[in-house]
Amino acid sequence: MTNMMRASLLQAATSTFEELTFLMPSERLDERQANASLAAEARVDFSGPMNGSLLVRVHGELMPVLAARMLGANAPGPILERDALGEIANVLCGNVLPKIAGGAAVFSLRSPAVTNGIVAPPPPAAPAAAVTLGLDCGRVEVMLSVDSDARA
Amino acid sequence: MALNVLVVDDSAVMRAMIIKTLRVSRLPVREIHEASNGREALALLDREWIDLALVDINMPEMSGEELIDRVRAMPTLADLPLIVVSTEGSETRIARIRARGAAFVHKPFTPERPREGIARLTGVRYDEHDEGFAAPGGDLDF
Repeated sequence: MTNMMRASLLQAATSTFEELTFLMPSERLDERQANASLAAEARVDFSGPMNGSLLVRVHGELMPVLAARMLGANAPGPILERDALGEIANVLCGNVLPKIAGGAAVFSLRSPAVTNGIVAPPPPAAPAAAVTLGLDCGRVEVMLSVDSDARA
Repeated sequence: MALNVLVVDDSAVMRAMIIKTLRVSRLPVREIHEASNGREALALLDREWIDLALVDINMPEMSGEELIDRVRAMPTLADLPLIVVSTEGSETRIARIRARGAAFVHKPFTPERPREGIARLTGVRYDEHDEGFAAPGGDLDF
């Protein structure tokens, strides 16, 4: 993991959650956030100057919180909760890639794939960059995986 | 003049966020229509009077770029004001979008950004003193 990639991912993740959900993420987790179990994950595959995927894993009771804050409505329901997480992953991926590859690089992003925590596959063993942020009653892990030849 | 607006995005949540932004914008908006991809948008443009379309880029079925090309090729819609609302960060692709005569608003956006773009593109006015929003002329990707 390079410092530049992690710093870019942290900046993109922080601003995405702040601007889409008006929550203030923190790298310092309280006990409840640290012990929260996996609820869902969203994955966005990308291709271009480098290929890979961005994974957002949500822990704790955050799914209804994120959707409600994005929509300004109470109890949006599971379909909109999944859609909200997918959009967060999409925005985050679209914002982090130019920070890493430069503004001239053109990437193609696939539609987000959202799965719940029960069926989610294990995360990549060695992502190129990863950050964990405490948010409200839970935490999110954001992982960026790229082809090995792009990490140099 | 009140605007009939079309919001095109495959994410229902993002459509709802854009519509919420339009509702609080103090812009004169009459009707808001929704489509989840370019193909649905073209069908809607065929049967409804639309003054402005806000369009995502990455969508299934038909992308925003293809939708813009189709709209620009139609004599009755060639001058339709279009604003791309996207996570796109590539200066190359944003320049390509602008070359097609569309404005660009980056996601995530603050409420005043789409409003300023719409005011500039369509010529409609809004109360500049409401809710502390800035007046048109700020730092925009137009």
